[in-house]
Amino acid sequence: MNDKSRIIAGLIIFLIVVTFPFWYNMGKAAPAPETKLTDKAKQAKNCIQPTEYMRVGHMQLLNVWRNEVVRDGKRTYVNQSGKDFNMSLSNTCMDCHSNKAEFCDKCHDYTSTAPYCWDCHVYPKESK
Amino acid sequence: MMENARRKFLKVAGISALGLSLGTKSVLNVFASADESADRRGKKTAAEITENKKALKAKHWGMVIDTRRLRTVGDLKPLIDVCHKIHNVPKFENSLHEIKWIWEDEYKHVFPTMESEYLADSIKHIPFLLLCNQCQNPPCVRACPTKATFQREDGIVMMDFHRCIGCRFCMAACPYGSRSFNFVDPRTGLDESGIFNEFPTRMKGVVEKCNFCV
Repeated sequence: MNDKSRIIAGLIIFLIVVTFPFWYNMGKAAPAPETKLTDKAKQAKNCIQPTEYMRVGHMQLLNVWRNEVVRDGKRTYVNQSGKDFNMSLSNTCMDCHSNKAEFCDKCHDYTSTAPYCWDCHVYPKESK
Repeated sequence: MMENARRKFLKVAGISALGLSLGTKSVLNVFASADESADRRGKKTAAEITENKKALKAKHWGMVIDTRRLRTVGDLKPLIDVCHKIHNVPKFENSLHEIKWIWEDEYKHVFPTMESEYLADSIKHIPFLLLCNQCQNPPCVRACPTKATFQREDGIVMMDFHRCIGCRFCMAACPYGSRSFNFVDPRTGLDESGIFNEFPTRMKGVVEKCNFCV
């Protein structure tokens, strides 16, 4: 136990190195992104479900859609208000939300999710 | 002394077992309430998923091709072109990378068991249209380990590209060569402006075939 000072110094250095990322990035947290709606989406006012639900559950909804459409051939979605929709990512969702970069990618990038939808499904070209 | 130690140990073990069980119970409760709230969310958004009421129905779909009216390559080309266009079927120079949903071949390849010495020359050498036969007892479906290819109730043999792992067992199983494998990214075989937006493309590493225009 003659190396007390060395051990403590070593521990302090270790702690500093380990916590470095935390205090280095302190106060620099990226703000949560705001999605932008297209004019068409704004005009429609309501999505197929309440916004809250879509924000939290769109991935489950899309997963149900793809299974129902591909496996069971059921293509029509009737929501509570009785309106029906063609269950299609490219043709229904992206018809209103035609701004993929502003609407999808912003949050997906922020949460570091990389859905593979776009490997196959086509999204509308954004005019810039 | 020994007795005492065992007694102590049993006491501590008993109390910690009790504590553990109480602890897990509260944890389980948290999960249960999370489930409940998910349930409530689900109920609030109860919606109905149905078939498209305008869609045609059949017990078992079939297709008839009138070979008396489609006799030349020129007759077949527009049909092949439009099918490949609306389904985003790519074109590649390298024939090893070829993707085909509908194509043409001569009599002996289209009807391999029905050849005859006395077949008229005019029939022997005219092109016939070929596509996936949508077999009643499809060998590709039996071969597929992930059920990525499956038979619908109305007889159509479907591909679910989300599930395909690209093992190509189905290609080995298909006696008619109706299946093609994407050795390269199919989007490189479609010119940018030529992609039909209403239908997805495929990705590298999946098998594809005619989907009978479901």
